[in-house]
Amino acid sequence: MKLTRRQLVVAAAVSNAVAATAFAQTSASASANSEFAKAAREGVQRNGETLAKFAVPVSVEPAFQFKA
Amino acid sequence: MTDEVFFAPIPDLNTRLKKREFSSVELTKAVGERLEKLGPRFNALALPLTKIAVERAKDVDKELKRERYRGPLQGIPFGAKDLLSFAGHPTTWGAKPFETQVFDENATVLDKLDDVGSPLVGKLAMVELAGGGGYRIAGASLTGPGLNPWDLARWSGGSSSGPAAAVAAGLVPFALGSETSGSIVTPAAFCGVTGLRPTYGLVSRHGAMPLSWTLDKIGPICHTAEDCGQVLQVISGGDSNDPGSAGKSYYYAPQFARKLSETKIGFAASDVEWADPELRPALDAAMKTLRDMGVNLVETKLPDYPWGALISTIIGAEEASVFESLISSGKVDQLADPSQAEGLKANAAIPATQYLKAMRVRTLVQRSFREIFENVDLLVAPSRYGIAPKVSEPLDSPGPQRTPPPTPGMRNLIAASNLAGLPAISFPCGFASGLPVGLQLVAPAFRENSLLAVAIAFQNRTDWHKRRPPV
Repeated sequence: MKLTRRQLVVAAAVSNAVAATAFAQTSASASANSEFAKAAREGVQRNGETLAKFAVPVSVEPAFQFKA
Repeated sequence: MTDEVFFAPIPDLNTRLKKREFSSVELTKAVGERLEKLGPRFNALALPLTKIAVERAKDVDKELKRERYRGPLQGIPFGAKDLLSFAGHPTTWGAKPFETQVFDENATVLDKLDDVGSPLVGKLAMVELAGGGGYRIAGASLTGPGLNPWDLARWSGGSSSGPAAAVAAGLVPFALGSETSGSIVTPAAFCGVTGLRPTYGLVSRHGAMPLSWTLDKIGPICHTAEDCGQVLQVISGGDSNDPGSAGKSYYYAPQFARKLSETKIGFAASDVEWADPELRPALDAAMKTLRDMGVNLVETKLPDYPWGALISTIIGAEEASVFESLISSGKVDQLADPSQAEGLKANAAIPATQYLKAMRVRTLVQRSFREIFENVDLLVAPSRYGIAPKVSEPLDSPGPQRTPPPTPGMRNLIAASNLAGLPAISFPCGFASGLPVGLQLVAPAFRENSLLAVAIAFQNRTDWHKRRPPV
């Protein structure tokens, strides 16, 4: 198949655009994921701090082998 | 078969099967075809099993012909959330990484229903991993977002999205769902059906996906409270294969519960203020119905515990252990909701001391509920404080800005009652903006009959549970 110079230029431009879009999507997705990860880690830490403030008598055992 | 059959309660179907108005094969075939045709409309169907169910129904019809009766569920087909294993067929847990997973034995509850001649007609859709890790989009599922039969632009609720939508749309006479914290109550409320979360340990979880060993429960989602009682009687009972089993059975006998005139139900006046304004007329009317039934409503306060931190820490630590290999293998990133994947990874770092602290506070929570139930027989609250959210919006979107009421009311009842292992029922009590509104009742452990007695009396006075979406 023969390609004209014009076709080559268009093909290269499209390919660059696709690559740029894919890169943008990947980096946007990675950025969103890192935000989710940060929020999740902060949530765990916040829960720990909340529970740490809650006083429990030393005699209270965990609800191991939980029964209703 | 007329449309009304697809919405008929269990005792009605049972009577008609015995009278030979139709056979179990005819009913199962009709239900299976309807489920296969309409299930995808709501993203409610995970796996059709019509052929197998019809074969099972043939045996059931032979028994019915010989008048060998096995109880009210005999010959009535049902659907099950896709976290229950059905031997030799995919059990996906609603999640891409488990899309081809096959177990070689049935979940105990499926065997129990098979024993009474109830054919499994399909596996129903669910939120991936029953929401493990915490999801923020309705589309967090292998089968796409659960769509609400009352409005396809709205969510069906989760994580038992398929069971609730399928029952609401008359695609199955009843279904099995599961709840760790809200996964039966929420979709039942959003879809306008009746859902019963049993006491922790009353129903075997053997063969069910574990999410949180100390919180998981399996329960029925049905058209009526009575149907829930009938199904619970069959699926309950001790099971040495379930370490959490209480070794107890349940017998459907709401007639032996305390008389309504002697029943005290705790409520929080501020609950109506916490609810979105559009829900308030339905909730006010529901409370009036309860008063008209003769029950005594007593203002009650839920104790002040860090509910969110407790439930998140316990589920988080247990699910991170359950899904340890999913997380470490990196396959967790195949989940549809990236925030869920990140949640699971973060939960793997919950310190042991934090988990143990939460479990110690949980002991106090149980004591607090014992004290509450010295003064009242049940608790009542809105199942949810808003209508089903739009599928297109994140589930954690901030609601409308309002001045919060001075007291928290029962807003944390779902988390609190799950932490204490208590049973609950959610039943429809009205509509707001064309979408169902649910009321929930919570009882002391193993008092399911008390819940059902009140819910049945409510449904005898109202017809919200008989309303059908425009399918």
